[in-house]
Amino acid sequence: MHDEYDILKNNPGERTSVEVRAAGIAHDLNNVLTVISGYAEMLRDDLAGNESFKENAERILSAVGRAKSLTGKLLESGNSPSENCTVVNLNDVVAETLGFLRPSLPSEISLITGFHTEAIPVYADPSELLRVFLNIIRNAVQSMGEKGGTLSVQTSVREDGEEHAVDGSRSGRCGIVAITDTGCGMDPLTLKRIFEPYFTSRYDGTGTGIGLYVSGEIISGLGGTISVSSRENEGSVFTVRLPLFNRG
Amino acid sequence: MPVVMIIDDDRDLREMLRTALLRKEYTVVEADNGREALKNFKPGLTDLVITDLLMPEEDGLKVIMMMRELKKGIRVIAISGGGKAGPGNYLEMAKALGADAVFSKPFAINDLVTRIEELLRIEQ
Repeated sequence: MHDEYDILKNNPGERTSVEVRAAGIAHDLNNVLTVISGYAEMLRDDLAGNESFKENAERILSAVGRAKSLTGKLLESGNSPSENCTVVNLNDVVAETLGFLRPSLPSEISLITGFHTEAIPVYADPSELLRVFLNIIRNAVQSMGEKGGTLSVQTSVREDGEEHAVDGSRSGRCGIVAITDTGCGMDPLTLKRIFEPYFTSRYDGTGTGIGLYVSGEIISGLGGTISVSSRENEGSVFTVRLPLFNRG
Repeated sequence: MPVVMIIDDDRDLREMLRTALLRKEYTVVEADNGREALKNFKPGLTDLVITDLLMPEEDGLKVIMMMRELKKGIRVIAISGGGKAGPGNYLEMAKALGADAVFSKPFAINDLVTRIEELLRIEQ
């Protein structure tokens, strides 16, 4: 019996398809509105001597203003990234996260790290990313319990056209952080629900069910994905993918 | 008169911008995507670039970086209708990459022309 399961958080093809579509339409509409308002302004300037015509041009501009507020609402209905976003090296954020966690790692857990040899520029709020990796790594550590195991954290870059391991997509280049543990793994029902708010598989009161939900929302907001692959009693792999910041 | 390059994949929008700039007697050259713009860019002749950000072929962010490398001090205005949608706030990124001004579509054409005049005055 096959006992390995995958789940993908924020596959743009499912959860956000309406938002993505709305944003695309809003973008195109804004182009059209720019053309309308541009000519209306020129008309208004040309008709400066005729108050009645000028007033009509003003009415066009006023309608454009109302339409702009509508396209703005469409755009904001999608996920907005944090105001503190900047270009950060994914390697640095992962190293900082591990720096926080290393002192508290149980001696029964051996840590293996592997970093992409070059910087991985992504556009994100570094403190939010740190929160995501802290959440995932803490979960990994807890899943291994007292018997310990191996925790692996690897960063890499997927080049254009390479197939996405989980959803088969071939979208653009992205930075990848893969966090692998040899812990208890998850059954398919748990796996299906781990990104739901307030869902927790820790029934001893130590889990709030918020960590992975928030992590998923943060990565979604950055246009990225989190995929999870898990096998009961063998472990899990969490893979975070973020679009690379295009430095040309 | 100063030469302004307009880069946008929307033909109607380019035409509107061209009309507005010709009325102010600017010389206008156009490109409908970033790749064509970089191919036809003449550093010695171009004073200011107005570039869209979300375009097929090369996007506007790369155009900004490349043009600033090709001509130090080139004035660049980024325009975008994408707002906060997508993987990042493109206009903020454009500013971070050195765009002198950014305008969110739809914008007032008179505001854009005023900003162009200010930027070119600074250059002179």
